[in-house]
Amino acid sequence: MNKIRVLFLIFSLAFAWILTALFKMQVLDYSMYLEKSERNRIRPTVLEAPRGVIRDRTGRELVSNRLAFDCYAIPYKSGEETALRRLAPILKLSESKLLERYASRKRGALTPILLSNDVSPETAIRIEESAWDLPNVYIETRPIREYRLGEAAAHITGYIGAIGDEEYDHRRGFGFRFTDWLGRSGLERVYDGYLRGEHGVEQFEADSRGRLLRVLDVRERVQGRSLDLTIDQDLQRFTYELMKETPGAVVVMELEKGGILALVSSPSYDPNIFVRSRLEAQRIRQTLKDPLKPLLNRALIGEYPPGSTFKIISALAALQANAISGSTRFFCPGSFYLGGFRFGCWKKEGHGSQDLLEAIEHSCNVFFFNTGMKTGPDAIARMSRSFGLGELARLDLGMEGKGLVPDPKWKEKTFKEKWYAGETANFAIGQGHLLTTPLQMVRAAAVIATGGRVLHPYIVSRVEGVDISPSQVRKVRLDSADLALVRRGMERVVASDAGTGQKARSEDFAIAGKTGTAQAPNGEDHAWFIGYAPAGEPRVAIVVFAERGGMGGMVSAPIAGKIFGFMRELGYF
Amino acid sequence: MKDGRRPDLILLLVPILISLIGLFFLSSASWRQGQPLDQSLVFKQVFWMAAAAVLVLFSLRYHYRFLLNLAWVLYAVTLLLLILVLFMPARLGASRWIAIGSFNIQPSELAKLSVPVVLAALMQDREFGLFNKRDYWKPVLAVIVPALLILKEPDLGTGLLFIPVLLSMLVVAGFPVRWILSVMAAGAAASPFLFHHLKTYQKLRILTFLDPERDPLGSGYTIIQSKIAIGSGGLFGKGLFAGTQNQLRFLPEKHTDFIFSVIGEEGGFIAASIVVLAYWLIIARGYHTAAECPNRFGRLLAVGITTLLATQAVVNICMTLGLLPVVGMPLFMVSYGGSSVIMSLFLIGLIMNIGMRREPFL
Repeated sequence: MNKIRVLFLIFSLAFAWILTALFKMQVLDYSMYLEKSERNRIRPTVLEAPRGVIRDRTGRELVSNRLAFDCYAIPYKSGEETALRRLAPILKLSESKLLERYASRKRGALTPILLSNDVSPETAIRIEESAWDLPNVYIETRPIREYRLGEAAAHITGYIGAIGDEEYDHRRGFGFRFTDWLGRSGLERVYDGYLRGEHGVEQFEADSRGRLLRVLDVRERVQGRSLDLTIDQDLQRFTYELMKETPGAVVVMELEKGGILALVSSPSYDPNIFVRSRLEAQRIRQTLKDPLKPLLNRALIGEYPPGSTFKIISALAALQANAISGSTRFFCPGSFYLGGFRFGCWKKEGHGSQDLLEAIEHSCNVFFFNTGMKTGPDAIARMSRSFGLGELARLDLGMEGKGLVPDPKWKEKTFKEKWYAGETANFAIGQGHLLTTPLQMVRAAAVIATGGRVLHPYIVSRVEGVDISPSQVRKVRLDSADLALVRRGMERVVASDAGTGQKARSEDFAIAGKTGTAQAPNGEDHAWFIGYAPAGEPRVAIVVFAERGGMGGMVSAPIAGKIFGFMRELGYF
Repeated sequence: MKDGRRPDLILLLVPILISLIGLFFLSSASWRQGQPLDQSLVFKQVFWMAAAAVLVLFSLRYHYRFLLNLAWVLYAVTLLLLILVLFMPARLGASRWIAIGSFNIQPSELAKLSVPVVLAALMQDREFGLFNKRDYWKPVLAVIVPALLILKEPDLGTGLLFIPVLLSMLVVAGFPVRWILSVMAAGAAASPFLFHHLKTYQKLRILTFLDPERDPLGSGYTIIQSKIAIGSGGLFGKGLFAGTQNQLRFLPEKHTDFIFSVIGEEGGFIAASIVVLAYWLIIARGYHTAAECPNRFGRLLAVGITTLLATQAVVNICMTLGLLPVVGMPLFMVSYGGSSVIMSLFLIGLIMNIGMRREPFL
């Protein structure tokens, strides 16, 4: 049929056209295309985006990026050895070492070989100056993370680590590259999404020697967003110096909005080692294996019995429940008997007859045993919870411990046992099953200092200029007379010569606080101090916790005093 | 086969040749270091080819008129699947596949069978369109519905593919050629308007086609790299597995739409022209079968299928040469893809089937 013939003819013409085009491209224009394919090695280079900087409240940088210079070599067809020999002294390596490194790291015919990581700027300049003698060697720059405060702020900043295989597989669809870094702890981790920027791409034509011919296109990299913290750099450093030999934690919080001025967990580590992981592999291993667990943020995760610091809460619970009043007196003979068991006061001779103010000042256990028995565990538990114990504080820094507020119902459910009367006694003095984190305790101190505001602690006040500080605050309804009573007691703890916290005293201003010496099995007691200053018009609250440190009044109180003193110098009050 | 003839030798052997050649270049385009053999694309491709071969051999035993009976069922199923696929999660920005277990079915491939069959069924009556011009709306409608669904996926290439199929079958069925020409003219006049309705990336492809250098890193990249690959292959090619454009990953989609670039680079003009001639031979036998077929249904079907295959091959190769804009159109029998392999081999088998049955049955 003619029509079918015509159809066939049309397609035959198309095929003929194709053959002609092929002939033109592959035979006539062959040399042009060959040259292009040799010359035209378009390589996209990733322009690594620097992570956002982290600044303290004064605007100074805590975490920033510096430039690192890496020395690469392109595998070359011949003459590699001479160039490498010339390069070795510049890199301060022996010739044999450099040649060995070159050979062992060689991958494919076109993959650049990393010869030396993070060389000094002078070395980098020398290499660039010798470009003619070292034809296939070049310097590539990339941003590298720098933690300016090092160990002093490690638990705040956290650190970054190279992305792992599995993590890469999960994330590659979202634009991650296998050379990317991820925040592993602290702010680096919690705010990783904001801190990481967007990589840029530079496409350039390179000839077969890898020489840059022309830039075809550039998509600029975008730096990650910056964080402004509530942290005061000088205070942070000062606090760390005080704590660095003492395992434990310190948290300083301002009372207007709940911003954290300083947060230290000891022992600490230098986050910078993770950034230069190749060079610091051994130090990293040591840090990870250290039995004292320096990577642990004790301020947030550590759950400990609060000991006598808890007495201010049990006091308020008792007052609230009308179990006692400001004038109630109990006699302390040095011990307290309940159901055949003896509960001792820390002063063996006893404190004699005391009212609430004196009991707080002397931290008398017997007074509080009595108080606790009259109040009952449920009321104490209720007051604890309204102070924020037993729940996450939700600081934007990482994983927290929840702590534990026990009560009879909880015990029944968990241990299938009844609550013993003696447990109420222990509860009232902050022992027993009760567990708190240092962060929860400073928040509790803040409740008293602010007259009932349960602040939401936060560390990041702005992300790239945008205010993200918390706006809502929970309130606890406390009778103002009860509150005034407890506050006066806390002032006496520091001001009085019979007060357990007198070592925190300062000459210029009044501090209010409470010490704690918490018994914990298998070891020394934990030393606590919580407090706020100035006592009359509180601006800041603090918790000083020394793990297995001994007596709160001897170990933690003086540290708190020094920190408050420094804050006075800095002008906080 | 008592009333049949031997199957067309060329249609039997040439596809085998192309498939084998294709497998070589596919292995070059898709090899990954350290990948176990049974996971490689080549292995899967061989599997599909074997399955297709079995299917074809089985189908040759039956007179192709079974399709006539199944025509509307097939068509309905196709439409159903095409609607269903629009609700499937998008992969690579397009909803073209329905996943069943570990298999992916592409309904647009099924349309490549059911649409020509339905068109042939509609137009097989000798008096079709002779007295009543309105008859011609039926085949047009039969094509528009699936074509629009396919365009919605979006799959521009396959959607537009049915236009030449429809036109060629209409012509052979008796549609006045003048009308065809005026329709084409109208299409050309309407193209700016239609252009406006394309998706952004499709518009970009056409603009880039006209000037690849305007966006050398984005859409122009593929065409530029493809031409360099093919051109630098020269007469004899750079050798299997030795194409620098291929191995250095400069060619995107090189195991699917741009497999011909790999053939051009590594096999040179010799390999490329062998492949081109091989496709041309298949087309030639296809139209020959159509011309020799004594009954309308078979003739129309053969014309439709041959035009379909011819268009696919021409468009794909022209795309790699930069002679046509980039559309998603695989090179059948060579590009990787189970649905494509099975359907194209089955369609060739169908042409063979038509050629084997020479008695008129209507």
